[in-house]
Amino acid sequence: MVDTELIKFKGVTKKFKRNLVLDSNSFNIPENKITGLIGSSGSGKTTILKLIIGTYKPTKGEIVYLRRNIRKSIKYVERYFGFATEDGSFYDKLTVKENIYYFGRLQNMKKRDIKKNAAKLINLVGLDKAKNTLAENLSIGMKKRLDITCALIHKPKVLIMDEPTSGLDPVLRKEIIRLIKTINKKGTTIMMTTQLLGEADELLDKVLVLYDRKIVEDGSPSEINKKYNKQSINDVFEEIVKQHKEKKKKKKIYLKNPKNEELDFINKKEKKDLDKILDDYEKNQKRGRK
Amino acid sequence: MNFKSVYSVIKKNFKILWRSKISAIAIVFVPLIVVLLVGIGFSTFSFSSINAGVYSYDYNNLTQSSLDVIEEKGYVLDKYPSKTDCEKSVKDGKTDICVIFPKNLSIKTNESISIYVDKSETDLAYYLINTIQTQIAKKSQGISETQVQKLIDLVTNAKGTVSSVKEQVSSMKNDIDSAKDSASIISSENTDIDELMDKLQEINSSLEDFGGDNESDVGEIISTLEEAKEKTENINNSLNRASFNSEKILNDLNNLENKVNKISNELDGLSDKLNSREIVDVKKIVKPINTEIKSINPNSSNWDYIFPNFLTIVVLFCSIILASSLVMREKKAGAYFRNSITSTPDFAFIIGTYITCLIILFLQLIIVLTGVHFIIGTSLNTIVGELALAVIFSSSIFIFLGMLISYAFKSEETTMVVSISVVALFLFFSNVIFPIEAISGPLQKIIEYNPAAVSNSLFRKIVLFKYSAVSILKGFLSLFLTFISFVVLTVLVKKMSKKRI
Repeated sequence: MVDTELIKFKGVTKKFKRNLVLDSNSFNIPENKITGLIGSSGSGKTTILKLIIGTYKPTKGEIVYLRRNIRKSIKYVERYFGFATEDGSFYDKLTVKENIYYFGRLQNMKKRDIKKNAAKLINLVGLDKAKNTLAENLSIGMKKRLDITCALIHKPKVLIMDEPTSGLDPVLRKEIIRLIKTINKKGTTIMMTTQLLGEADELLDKVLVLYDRKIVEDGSPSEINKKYNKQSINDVFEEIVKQHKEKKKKKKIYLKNPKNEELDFINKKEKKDLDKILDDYEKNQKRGRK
Repeated sequence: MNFKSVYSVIKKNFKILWRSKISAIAIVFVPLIVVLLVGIGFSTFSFSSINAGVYSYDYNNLTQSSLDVIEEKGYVLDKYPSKTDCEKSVKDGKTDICVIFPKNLSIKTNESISIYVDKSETDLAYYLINTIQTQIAKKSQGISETQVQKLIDLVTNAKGTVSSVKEQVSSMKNDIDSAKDSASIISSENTDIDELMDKLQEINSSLEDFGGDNESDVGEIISTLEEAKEKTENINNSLNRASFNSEKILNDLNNLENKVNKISNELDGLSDKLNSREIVDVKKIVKPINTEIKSINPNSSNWDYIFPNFLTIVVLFCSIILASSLVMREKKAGAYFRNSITSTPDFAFIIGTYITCLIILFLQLIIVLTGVHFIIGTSLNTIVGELALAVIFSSSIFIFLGMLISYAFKSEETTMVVSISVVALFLFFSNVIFPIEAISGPLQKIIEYNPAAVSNSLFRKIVLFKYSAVSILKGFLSLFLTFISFVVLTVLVKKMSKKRI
């Protein structure tokens, strides 16, 4: 069965002033699946999530949700997308219930619907006993669950999760993974980022590997593992990092002085200039081979 | 915009505030404490416990009496051994003012009393200069009055002399009149002699006609008559001469009378002038034009005068700081991001925060005004509508300004620094600390539109002069336009700040 493309990235580039964070990326997020975006810290994973919900505007390219440009359909995003943040996005001085009701109200839901959804969700995430506890007094795991509940109160079609398992011990992590699976089974498409690759094989239907501003791998965990002849996504990621480092090192071979000493890059500009020279050199060599 | 969302935002704000006890206390009760302290401290507003440094080359009677009048004002006098020490005492803050008396201070010398003040303490300096100058001027006036009184006494004596001279002149006039009468009689006597001569001539002629029979007797009579005529003629000549002289005397007497009358008239004028009030009243001579400073609203207390300024400070300070704190707290809360991705528009959050601030501010003002009513005794019953309207207008501007600052800056520290700087800037140019009129040129024109200055003006007009809202419509309009500009700016800046989440 062919997956329905719910969200599509078309050559998306994102720059913050002169800093290039994403470089012409194209991929899609299938409906009713759990898609994981993996990459090292600071690689631009959260930027991709914020591009999806329309907080950031792509410098180049477009992001499409059900054939609609997301930037031009923010109302749909607000209505059909939920976002669970890494650090928790709720009020510490409100109770669990108050937080859920408050965000339900902000989603223009009727009180009756909020009450119904809140009861189900509180039960689903296991916060029944803590529903009248101030958020600041919750444990880390409970805070994660509260954040997910706040993201789900308006019954979104897509749940975007930024590092949902970071900072959790293995037991709590398993609990959250189980919760994510349950939410997905109820028909919610999930797009999540993670640095903890151990959970990728177990949890994800689709993996997007972000490395050096680009999505370098896109497929199911089994497909990718097979491609790299590895047992897990964790191994694959290590291999990808290794290959890229070697590739860069190869480029450096040509950057030796007459004494056969490798050159040090003094600053960003010099590095950039040298990279350009290397790229040109590589292109010329390829042409020569042809 | 969904009003239920706005209501949720307001409810949430109050819940959070209520659960952050310290913040709630700080936000609601600190202004109350401030107003209590200011109210008690300044309700009987006057400068007391002022130390005046004094130096005089010699403490003569005039110096001492001048010092007495300063002391009467309740100032504590510190005498310094030298002029330099006295001046230094002001620099060191030991005294608030230094008064230097010249050597041999007397009413005959032109030396002046010098007053040294620290003008950096603007209000106090001008108050002290004014007070000391007034006290010394009073003393100076007293001396002038004594001198003028002496002058008046001399004039009064002169009046008596003039009166006696007038009497003598009057008696002289009478003498002249009687002399004139006498001279007139001599003149009339001369006419009688002429008539007698004519009669004698007639008799003589008759006798000559009668002379035929008794020629010798007639001749004798005629000769006797001739002799009588001759003698009469001699008398007549004498009388003519006398008459001529008497006419001359009469003329002289007339001239004399004219001169005496002129003197008499001048003496009358002089007497009138001496009797007129302007010259008699010593105070009128010493201080011909009197000035009296009267309050436009004499029933107002010191607190009434301070209250509009105080209200401006409370509204300005509380609105900006409260709004910027609330927004900054919101921005720092994890939930800020979730708020930004919900269906609720930005404007609902802005309005929610605005209404929250407005409610808190009104709670503060209710406490403050109740305190003012019960502790200080100022009644605001008659102006409560206008005052509430003015407070809503001005606080709305400052609340939006506070929000604008918070949305514009990312860090909490920068926001607070900018907020406090803006409060200070608005306050400095609002007539509360310095008069706008003291600011030069085009800047003054711009500052006139400072919402703090406009608010201050409205508060003064309402509190002190009981203006109705209609009569100060221009001020309200100016505030309203500023309010609209700040609303637009706040919405734009919030939209821009979203990109930085």
